[in-house]
Amino acid sequence: MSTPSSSVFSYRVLKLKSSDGEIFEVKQTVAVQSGVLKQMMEDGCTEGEIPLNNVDSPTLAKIIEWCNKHHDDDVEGRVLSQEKEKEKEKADMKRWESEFIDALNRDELYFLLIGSNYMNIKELLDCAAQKVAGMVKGKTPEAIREMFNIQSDFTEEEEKAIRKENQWAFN
Amino acid sequence: MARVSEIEDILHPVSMALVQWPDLPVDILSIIFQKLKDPCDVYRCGLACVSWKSIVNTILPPFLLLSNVGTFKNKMGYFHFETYLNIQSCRLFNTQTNETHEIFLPEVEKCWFSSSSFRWLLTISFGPPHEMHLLNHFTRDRIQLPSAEQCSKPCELRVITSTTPLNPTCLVLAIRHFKGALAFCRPGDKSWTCFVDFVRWDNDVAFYKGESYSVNTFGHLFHLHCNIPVAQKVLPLLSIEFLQHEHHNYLVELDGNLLLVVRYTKELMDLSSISLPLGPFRNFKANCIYFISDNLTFFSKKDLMPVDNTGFYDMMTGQIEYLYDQASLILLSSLNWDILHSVSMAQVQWSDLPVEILPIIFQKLKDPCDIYRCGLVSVLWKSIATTILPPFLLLSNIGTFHFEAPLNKQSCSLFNTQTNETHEIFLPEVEKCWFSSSSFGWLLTICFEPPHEVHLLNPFTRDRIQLPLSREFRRPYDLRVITSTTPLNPTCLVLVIRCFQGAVAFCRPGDKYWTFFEDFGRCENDVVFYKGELYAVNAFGHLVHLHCNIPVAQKVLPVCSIEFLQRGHHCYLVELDGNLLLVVRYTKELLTSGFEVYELDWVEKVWIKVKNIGNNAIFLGTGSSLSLPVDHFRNVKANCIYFISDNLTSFFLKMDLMPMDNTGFYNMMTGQIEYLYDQASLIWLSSLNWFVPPSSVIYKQKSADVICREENSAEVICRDDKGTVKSWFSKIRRMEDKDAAAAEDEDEDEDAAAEEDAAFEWWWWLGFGCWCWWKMMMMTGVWWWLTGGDDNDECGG
Repeated sequence: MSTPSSSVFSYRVLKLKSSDGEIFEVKQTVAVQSGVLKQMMEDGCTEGEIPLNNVDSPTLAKIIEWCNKHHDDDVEGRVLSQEKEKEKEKADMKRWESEFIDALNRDELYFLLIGSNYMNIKELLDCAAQKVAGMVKGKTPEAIREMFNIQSDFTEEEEKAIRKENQWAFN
Repeated sequence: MARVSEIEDILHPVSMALVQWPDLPVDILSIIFQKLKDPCDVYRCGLACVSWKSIVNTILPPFLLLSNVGTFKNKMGYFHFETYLNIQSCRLFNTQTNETHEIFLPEVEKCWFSSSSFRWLLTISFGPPHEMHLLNHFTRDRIQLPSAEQCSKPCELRVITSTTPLNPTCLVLAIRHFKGALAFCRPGDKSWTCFVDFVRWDNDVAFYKGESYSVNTFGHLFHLHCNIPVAQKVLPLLSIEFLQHEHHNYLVELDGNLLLVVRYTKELMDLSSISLPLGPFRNFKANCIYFISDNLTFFSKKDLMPVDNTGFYDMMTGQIEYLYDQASLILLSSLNWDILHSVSMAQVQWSDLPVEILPIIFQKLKDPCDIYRCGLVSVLWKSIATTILPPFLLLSNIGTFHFEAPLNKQSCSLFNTQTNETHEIFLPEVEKCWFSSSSFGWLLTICFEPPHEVHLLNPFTRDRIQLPLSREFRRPYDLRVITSTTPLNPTCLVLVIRCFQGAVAFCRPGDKYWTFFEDFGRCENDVVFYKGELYAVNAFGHLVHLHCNIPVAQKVLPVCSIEFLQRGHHCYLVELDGNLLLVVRYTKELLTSGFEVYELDWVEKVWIKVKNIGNNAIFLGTGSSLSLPVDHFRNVKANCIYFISDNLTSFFLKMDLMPMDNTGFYNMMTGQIEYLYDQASLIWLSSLNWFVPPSSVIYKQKSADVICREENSAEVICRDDKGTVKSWFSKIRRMEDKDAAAAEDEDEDEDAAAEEDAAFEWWWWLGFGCWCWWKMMMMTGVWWWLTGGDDNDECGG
């Protein structure tokens, strides 16, 4: 559907449908940040509701919040020609990102990882991954297992060997 | 109570009608629970079933302020503790709704009480015996504790329990806040046990991962051993430079980390400290510290009220906001935080995280120790960590150029060859030591100071194993160490060779002395453990089988020596895919000029030249030399020999040469050498070692791969080989796997065409064998003639 209308109506709104059926409206210029949506726009198949089966509504809301913020930033960045202001803007964005990510609990973070991966939003995925990395840093394997509710699936022998070699890591 | 029975009344007839209440939509349930004002009711609903509990957890405020009855009352300008003490209840203040709830508790009459961890209250009666109890204010269970005569003034007491007090092994730790006295008991004990040798400066105690720690005013952390109460261990922590003099320290566990919270006070301005994730709660702000006044004795100042000391501190802005609500009298009492529940994790399966996301996360972890530890979490994580974790890090030996100069460094640095980043690992053990990496990820450290203590050290776990002393190791710079297994294994054999003098010695952990191989011709270049046996190679390519039980005995294998291209060379032994390889490094004016690789043919006892090592890389250096498949490592090239300079002493003779000029990799295909060094990094100025993280587990995968790889490399050799020798070679290899008989049987089973081929190959094989034998005879002859009788005596066996 690469009709001229798509270029004329560049402010057009996409309708995203979350896995639990909620509809979100997103400006096309914002949705471009998602690799998947961008591809769809290029292919011209964004008519009607776009079902996102892997993303539930709270997560989609978060993702859209992120995208909106970053989109705004882009626009302002173009307006502000002053280098200093740009830098300040960057620092503000960094702070906003960290606040945004820190406010999530573990479960939300998990769904955000899944969602941003599914929608192919690299910056958000990076940011979330950085957060998880920060959570893992300095932790013992047992603490990590506990934190993420992971069952150790090593065989008994391997587990024994690990413990023997890594007494400190498990203390 | 009445309300609960009402609920039951309503529920009863409905459940008869086969309506599945647990299936009630979550939204409706949470509306219902929010209508329940009394926290006890909400709490009890949460005990109904798992799904209800998860909803209740989002509704129940995480902390309720628990009002201590009778804190102070203005009577002639003084404040008294006893006034309200006859009340038979305690009050909970819901910080989310700002409502106060009264809980009927006759047990607290004439008692002072305070909340401890795990939802139990500590009550101390004001009457002379000062009975102490732990009391569950919801179930009204009571557990007696030994009475404490000293606790006539319990207001500064703080109590934590290691587990819920219903557990008989539960440990109750009490600390007197402003005096630092520390005592513990277990339910059922007759008396409290005091930590006797305590300086009275301790501020807080905490259970952290099953151990108890206390912190004093100076920020020193103590590890408390509750079995031997006098014993304590000060953890070697730096004290903190505090902003102000008046402060109080708290210990809090957050996300598995131990936090120290310092509260600064000004003009007298909490009892138990807790941290909870703030996801589901409405009225709590993230990144804030909520506090209540914890020094009630400060009522000497009439114009101050505890309410003035209750609020929250925003870590982001540094602002303090006050919590109190003028209308509520509760804030006039002494307060405690009360946790009603522990937040349980929702059923998110982190282990189901898509595989493509995990590497992104691991790559964010810069520290190899962290990646390494992640690899121990589960099999999937291991397989991903293995691809992220650089296979080798260059380990910088402290102080290369002037050996003694920077030796006081308490760390070693690892260089990640994949990201070109350097990581410091804190290792106080290597101070004033020379060290080198050995196999299985352990370091050999030798102290520079007179007794020259020798240790094996695991840089990640900091385990240390003492080895016997030896005067031979005074100048250890060309020392190379290998171990037969991980040194934690008591039968592990530690073998040391002086690369450029050929002296070989061994010991086992726990031995008194090193045993030297005495009848050695001091020209040994390298040793290797190969299939459980020990082999050494000398400069002529002779392989020696070493017997470590009778150290003098040795057996020279009748392997013919090699015609080396140049005189300046050094031999290394490497195991690759179950084969024994001899790698010859040629040097020209101290710089590496080329390599040759030979594989031992065990049948014919000859070294066969190998032109291609397939999908593997060989790593050579001062320390152990090794080979690894490179499949999944990004920056390691296949079919290459990575080398670092291994003769540092010789570099000091030539001023214009640097060790980095001798660090790079040799491509077996093109015969080109490329250099690894990076001008920006200072690491190249040090002496280097290859280092594999000490996880036999992570790399165990390699041995599992061997079988399939065996075929691959055989194929590679066949394919690359234009001559006949290599197809031979693959044949031999296949034969090695099975018995000769079995191989023959197989041949019979094969069809006629294959048989013909096999017969042809067999003839080739025989011819080649004869040729090799003849060549070998020739060469040994020439060698004997060249070296004369002396060598004959030494090396002949």
